[in-house]
Amino acid sequence: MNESVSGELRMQRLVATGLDWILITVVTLLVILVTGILEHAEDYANIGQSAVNAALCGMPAYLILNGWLLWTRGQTAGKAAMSLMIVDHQTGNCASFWKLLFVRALIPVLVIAVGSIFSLLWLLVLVDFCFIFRKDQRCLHDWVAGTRVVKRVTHQ
Amino acid sequence: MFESARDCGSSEELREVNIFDRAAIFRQSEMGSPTVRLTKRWWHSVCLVVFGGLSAHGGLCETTEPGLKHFYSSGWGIDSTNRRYQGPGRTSISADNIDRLELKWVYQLAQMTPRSYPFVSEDTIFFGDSGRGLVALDRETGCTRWTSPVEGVEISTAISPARMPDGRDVLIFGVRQSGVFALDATNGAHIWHYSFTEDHPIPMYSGSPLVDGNNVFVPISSTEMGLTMLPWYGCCTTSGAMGALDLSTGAKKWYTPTISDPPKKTGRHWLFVERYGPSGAPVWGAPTLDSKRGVVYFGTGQNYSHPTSATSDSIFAVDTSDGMVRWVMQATANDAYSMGCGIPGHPLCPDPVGPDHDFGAPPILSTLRDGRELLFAGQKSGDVHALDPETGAHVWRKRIGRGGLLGGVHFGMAVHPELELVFVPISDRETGQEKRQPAPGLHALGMASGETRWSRIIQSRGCEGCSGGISSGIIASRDLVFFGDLDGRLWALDVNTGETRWQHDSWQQYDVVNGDQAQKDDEGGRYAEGGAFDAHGPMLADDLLIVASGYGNFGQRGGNALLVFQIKSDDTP
Repeated sequence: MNESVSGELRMQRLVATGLDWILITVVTLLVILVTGILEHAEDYANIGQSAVNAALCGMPAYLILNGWLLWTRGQTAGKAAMSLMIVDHQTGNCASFWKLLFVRALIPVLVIAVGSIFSLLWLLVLVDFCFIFRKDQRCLHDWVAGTRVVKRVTHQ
Repeated sequence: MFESARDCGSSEELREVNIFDRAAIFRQSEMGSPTVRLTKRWWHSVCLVVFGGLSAHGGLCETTEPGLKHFYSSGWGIDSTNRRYQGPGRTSISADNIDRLELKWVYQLAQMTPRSYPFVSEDTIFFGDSGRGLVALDRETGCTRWTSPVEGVEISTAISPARMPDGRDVLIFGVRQSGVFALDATNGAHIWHYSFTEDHPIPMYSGSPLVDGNNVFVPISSTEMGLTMLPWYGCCTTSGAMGALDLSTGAKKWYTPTISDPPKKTGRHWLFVERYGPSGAPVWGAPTLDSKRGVVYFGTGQNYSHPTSATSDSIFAVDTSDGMVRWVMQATANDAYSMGCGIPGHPLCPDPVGPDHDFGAPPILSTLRDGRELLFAGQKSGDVHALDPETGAHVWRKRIGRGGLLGGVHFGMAVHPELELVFVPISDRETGQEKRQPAPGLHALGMASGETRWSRIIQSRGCEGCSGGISSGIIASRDLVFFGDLDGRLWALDVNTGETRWQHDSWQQYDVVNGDQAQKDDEGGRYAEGGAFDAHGPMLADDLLIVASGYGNFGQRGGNALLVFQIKSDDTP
């Protein structure tokens, strides 16, 4: 199996990201349902705590949905659907799992979390995404994690 | 030089300010020399930036202290019996001069769904400007005397005045999810705050508090109603309630839930989430005081889940001293409804589902000419009930229009004691679930027997989503009755005939008095927009008519205009 870099990935990446958000939301809701973390009136007594709890449910949801794919193929569910994969920028090989999980995936989450407190920082998400219009099509979280997204091509 | 030290320019004073007492930080002090004024303005600007622009300080007044000698209401209902009747001594607006009622000034509110009710003194209008805080505005010019930010977002109730044992004049009001607040009326300084979280995990303060002596009666509903939209929520465990606080300290005196039985597990729905009941019976409206009997009356809404209780959609009478229930009159039994029912197949919609026939409007206690007392209560079913206040027994009951989810009586009725009329505003918005003939508009019933004296159906503008219905509270005077409809039109009708005496269309853009602190629109202009009239409705004081236009809930048109009208004097050119 070989991977080759595709020229125009922007649209595929956008679709993949959209798919990821939808799927993670659905799985997060399932985690909330199964754990019962937001099942009782007392769980809503502190709205901030409720939001944190919901966000915490998003982490296992991310792992359930993407853990195995990231570990084995450097893909999230959305990227798998769009035949994309994340590779190490320097080597072109699969990026290390810990980088994918604790650096690359966490950056947008942190930005959103901080943005929910200081609303203007939501703009950082846009800044992050706008990096895709650079020639190398690497978003800010790619730069921080030392990764890039490529088209996954399977040769028989 | 800085004798009025609680200006935010004084760092020494800032150290003494309670964290909740940001009113003191924002309050504009007595002005000295132009230099002092400029310095204070500069500090004020710093405060605005530091606190995220919470304050609305364009058009600041030179004099910050409001007059507190004369008040024009005691709370939601104008008087503590909730009659919503402003007699000739308190309003000079009449059928004889209504044609000279003109817009005086407009204040831009911070949010598009205002829910406060103007409280008026001899020179000041107090109003809950959600997102900014409680504001004290000069009656004459609309300039801001002080702004007192409060914890939480939405000031959701009318304002009740009270005098503390130490002589301080205070303003009591509710903030939707934060609790009840007492502020010093002189300067907006925070005195106390209380939320019934020991008794209720997620209380909501939608109904207006009522002050009587050293008691503050607080209606309590629940945010659980909204949580029923969430399919993973274990619906439902909370109950509405009436609570009483000590005016001096804000300490709890008593708490009476509307459902005495604790909720029990009743099963699981298809997502394996547990169900509970009974629940609901929230108290949405202000209590009504019967000082002769030592009782407060209030209405409840529907149950959120099965089993239903015998206290939902009911009128309660409870003892003012200890909260003991004297009697309960249930108007609609087995009414279980949740917001989940708005989504087809939602697992938290009760089965069987009820009609959602709350008592949202406060009951009215009034005396007939023959000395009889009656308690009038309007329901979302469109029913008007006249009850014996001693026992809760029906004297008469009359249904008007269609009723339903967004139908019938919402925020409140009014009475005319001299003419023995009950004015019944009917919403009757179309929801596609009701079959009876709608009757959106205002209806006048005889107090003694409930016969219809006149009906005035208000036609909608005809645009999509529009409605001529009346959801907001109304107010009556000697010869006029005032209300705003959901289509943003403000009306004054003749109390005897229902004929139109005056009208104002608020679906427009208004210039505002907030000055350069008013929010800019997309094109850089500083305006206020009119919208649907809803919530607590218009207020009358002397020659003024005061009302907030805009209510963006339920798909209605939002707006942020606090409108102040005045009778133009004869000698004005």
